[in-house]
Amino acid sequence: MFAVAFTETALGRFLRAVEVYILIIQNLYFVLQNVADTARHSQEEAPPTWESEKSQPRAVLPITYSSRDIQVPRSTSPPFRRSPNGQILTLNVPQRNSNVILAIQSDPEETPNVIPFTPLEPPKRNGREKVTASPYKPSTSASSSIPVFNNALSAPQVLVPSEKRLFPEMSLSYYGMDQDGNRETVGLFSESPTLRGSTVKNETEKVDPPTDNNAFNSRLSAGPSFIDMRVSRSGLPPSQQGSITSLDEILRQQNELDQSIAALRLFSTQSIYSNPPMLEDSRKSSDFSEFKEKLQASGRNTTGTKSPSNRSDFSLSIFPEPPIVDNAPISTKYSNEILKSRFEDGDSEAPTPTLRNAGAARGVPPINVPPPLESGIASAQTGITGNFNSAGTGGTQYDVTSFIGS
Amino acid sequence: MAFIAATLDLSQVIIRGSQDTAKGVGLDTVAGFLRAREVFLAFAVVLLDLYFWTLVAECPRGEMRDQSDQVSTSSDARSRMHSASWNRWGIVGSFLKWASLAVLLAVPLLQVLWRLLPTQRQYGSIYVAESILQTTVTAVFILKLILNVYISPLDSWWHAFRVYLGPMTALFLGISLGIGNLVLCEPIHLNLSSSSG
Repeated sequence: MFAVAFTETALGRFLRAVEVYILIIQNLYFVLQNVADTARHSQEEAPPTWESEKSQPRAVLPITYSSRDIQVPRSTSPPFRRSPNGQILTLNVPQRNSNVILAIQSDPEETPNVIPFTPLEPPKRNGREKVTASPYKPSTSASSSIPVFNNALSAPQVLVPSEKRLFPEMSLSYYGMDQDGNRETVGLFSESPTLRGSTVKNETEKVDPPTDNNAFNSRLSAGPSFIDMRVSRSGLPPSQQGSITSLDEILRQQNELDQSIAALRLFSTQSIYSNPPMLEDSRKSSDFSEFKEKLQASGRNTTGTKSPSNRSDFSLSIFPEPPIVDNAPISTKYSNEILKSRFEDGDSEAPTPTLRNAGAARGVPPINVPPPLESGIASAQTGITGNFNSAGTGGTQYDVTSFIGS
Repeated sequence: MAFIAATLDLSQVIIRGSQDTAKGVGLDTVAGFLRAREVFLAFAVVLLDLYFWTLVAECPRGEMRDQSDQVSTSSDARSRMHSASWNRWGIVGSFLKWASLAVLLAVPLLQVLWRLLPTQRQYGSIYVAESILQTTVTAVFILKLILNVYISPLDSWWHAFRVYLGPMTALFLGISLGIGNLVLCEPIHLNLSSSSG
C-alpha cells in the first residue's frame, strides 16, 4: 500500500506549476518596472548632455581681452563688426570656438591687430550652480585704488563679445550705468576675492616688471573682492593681463576680468558722447540708490547659499551687453557753462551739478571730483570726474570705486 | 529544487526503462534517485513558503515611492511603518511573523518524514499534520495580504491590490493544494517487493 498525495498527482503538479509560473511572471514584471523607474528618475535628475550644454553659460567661456600682444584692427573685417553707429565694435566668436582665448589689448598706438586664438579647456561649471553674491569692500586708498581709464577718448571702438552674452536683458544700471551709458559707478565685484586677487597677482609677477601697479595687486590679493580697474593708455605701463596658466579657474577669472575691462572701456567711451555726470538729473541718482539697495539685499539674501565656487550674482562673466550709444551731443566745457548759467538764471530743471552732491544727499560716498585742470581737456570735455595720472600724459583717470560698497 | 527533483525522477524512469516503469518494477535499482527526489520536493515547498513569508512583509511599491518623497519629522514609530510591516499589528503581528516562519520551516521536515519513512507513507498523522500546517500558513499569508491592502495609504484600494494580485493567486492555488492533500490521499498499489528487494 503506497499513498500518493494530491500534490503528486497530475492535477496537483499542474497547479503547483501554475503557482510558480505566476510568481515568476510577477517578479519579472516588477523587475522590469524597477528598471524603467530607475531610468526615468535618472533622466529627470540629469538632463541630457546636449541639453545641459545648451544651458551652459557660453559667455563665460574664456575670451580674454589682453593688453599687450593681441590687438584688433579698426577695420570691420570678420570676426569683428562695427555697430551701426560706428562706435561699438563687436567681436563675433563662433560657437564652436567658444573655448578659445581671445586677447585684445588696448594699444597705446591705437592700432589693433587681429590676434591668434589659443585653445583652452572650457571651464566646467555645473548648470545648477547657485550664484551668490560675495562680500565686498569699498575702495579706500587714494591713488592706487582709483581706476584709471585713459582709453575713453581715443578708443571709439570697444570690443565686446556680443553673441556670447547670457543676460543681455540685464540693465546696465545694475553696474552703475543707466541705459544711456552714463557712468555712475565703475566698481566691479569679483567672484572669489582671494582667488581672483591671487590670480592677478601671480600673473602680474610673471609678466610685468615691478611697477606702481604692485600696490594695486596687493590690494587685490589682500582679500576684498572689489576690483579696481586700471587700464593704461600711453603713460602707464602695460597691464598685467594676457598670461595663460594651466589652471582653468584662473583663466576663467582672468577672462572675466578682461571682459569687465572691455565693458568699462565701452561705457567710458560712451560717456564721452553722452551726457556728463554733471548733467545727470536726480533720476539717475535715485537709480543709483536703488542699485545700491539691490546690491545690499542680494548680498543679504544669498549669504546662506554659498556655491562651491563662491560666485557672485555680479559675476563679470555676465556683464550685460552695452547699449548702443546715441549720437548725443558732446558735452563741452562751453556747454557746461551754458547749463550752469541757466541754472543760475533760476531754471528749476537744471540738473544736479555733480554726482558727488547727489550721492552725498543720499548717504553715498562722494566721487572724487577734482576741479578740472586747464590741461585736462578730456576731463573738461566729458565732464566726467577723474584724476590725471602722474605721468602727465593727458589721459583721464576715472574713479570707478569711490561709492560702491559703502 | 523542484526542477532538480523532476530531473531525478526523469532519470530514474530512463534507468528503469519504459517497460519496467509501466509495470512498476525495478524500483530497487533507483532507490537513491527516489529518496533524493523526495527530499528535493520537500525542500522546494519550504523555499516557496519562505518567498511568500518575505513577500507579505515587503513594503508596497507605491508606499515606498511616497515615503521617499516626504520628509517625516514625526516621532511615531507606527507612522513610519509601511502597511505590510508585521509590527503594525503589535504583538499579534509579531507572533504571527515568527510562528509562520517556524511552521513553514517545520513543514519540510514533516514532509521528509512522511515521504522517506515507509511506515508513514500513508494517510497518517504526520501527513495530516503537515497538510494542516501548510494550509494554515498559506491562509495566514493570504490574510496578511488582504490586511496590507486594507490599511494601505494609497488612494485607491485597487492600486494596492494589483501589486498583490499575482501572489494572492499563487497563494490561493497553494491553499487549494493543501486542502487537496487533506481531502485526497490516493492509495496506490505498487510492487513493493521489487522496490524493497
